[in-house]
Amino acid sequence: MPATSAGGRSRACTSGHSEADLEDIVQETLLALHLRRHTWNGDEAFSPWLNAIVKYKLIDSMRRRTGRRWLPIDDYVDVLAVEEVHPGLQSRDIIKMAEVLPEKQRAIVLAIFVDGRSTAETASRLNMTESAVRVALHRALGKLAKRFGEGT
Amino acid sequence: MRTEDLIGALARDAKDERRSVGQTLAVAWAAGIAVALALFLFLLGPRVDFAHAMTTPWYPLKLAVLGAIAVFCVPIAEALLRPGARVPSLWLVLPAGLVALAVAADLWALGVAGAWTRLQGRNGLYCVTLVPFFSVAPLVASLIAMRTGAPTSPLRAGLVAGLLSGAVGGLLYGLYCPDDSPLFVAVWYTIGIAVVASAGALAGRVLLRW
Repeated sequence: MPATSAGGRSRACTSGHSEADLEDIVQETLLALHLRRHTWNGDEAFSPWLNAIVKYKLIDSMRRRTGRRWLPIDDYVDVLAVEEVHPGLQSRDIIKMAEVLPEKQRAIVLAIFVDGRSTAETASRLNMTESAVRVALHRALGKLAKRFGEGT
Repeated sequence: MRTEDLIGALARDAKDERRSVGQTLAVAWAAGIAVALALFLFLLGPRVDFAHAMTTPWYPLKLAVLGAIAVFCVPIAEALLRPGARVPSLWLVLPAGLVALAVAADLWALGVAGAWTRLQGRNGLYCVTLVPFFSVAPLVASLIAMRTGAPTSPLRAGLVAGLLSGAVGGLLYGLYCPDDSPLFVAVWYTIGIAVVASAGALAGRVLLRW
């Protein structure tokens, strides 16, 4: 199994996948190998069978992922700037806009921009790590910017 | 999920031993062919002069070629479901060559003069519709069975399923069909089987992905 996952990784690395994608592909491939293990006929060499499945799964996932490249946000948590909220924005506007967000993100946005708490305070109140709060906040702001556009 | 956890879960699940793809295919083909055969016997049945026709050269040859296509497709289909397996597709050259030889023999013996009439035969349209009709049950059964395998080329696996089913349909209809001329067989049966093979390939591309 570790050999498979290493083989899959080395093949996938050259094709420009992110680390998280690789992990997904490796897991999909392992699952496929498991579910189709009855297609390996014990009298034949093992590696051609293995390689054919790895190749099939890799091509399959590349097709599905074309055009999408994800970078793990966790690596940039500490350098991501928290955008300045529009100064003219009133609390009730923020409360209204935050309604489009999922519960957790809404709680964070409200805590920081309406109640004026720091990320550390918010983190301890919501039982999250500070990094997680920043990530969620960043995503929430991205969502709001997409939804309401610049200068609204 | 972490990959180590996945591996652990898979290892715990590794007890049950499922049937090999060959066994699954054999069951499906038996069922599909039985349905097609029942339909055939109920609707058409072999031709009236069957015993006499078997003594002519072309009637048994027609059946042999169609049977050979179906039989040679069996190991091909099975291999296409096992990743990395060698696919013995060259065997199909044999029935194709046999048809070519028969066509040449026919043209040599009877001349080019009446070739067009022999090619048209009497039942061309029946042939191209009834061959696919009797192929439906084997094709559906094949595709269902093939979903338990691991075809790394779903299109090719579907194509071979269609070819096999088309040959079975052709064999059944061929038992009834009064046209035995190699020219007729080479044109109309080929069209009928090609229809089924294309349908199989298209269906395979969608249904046989995993």
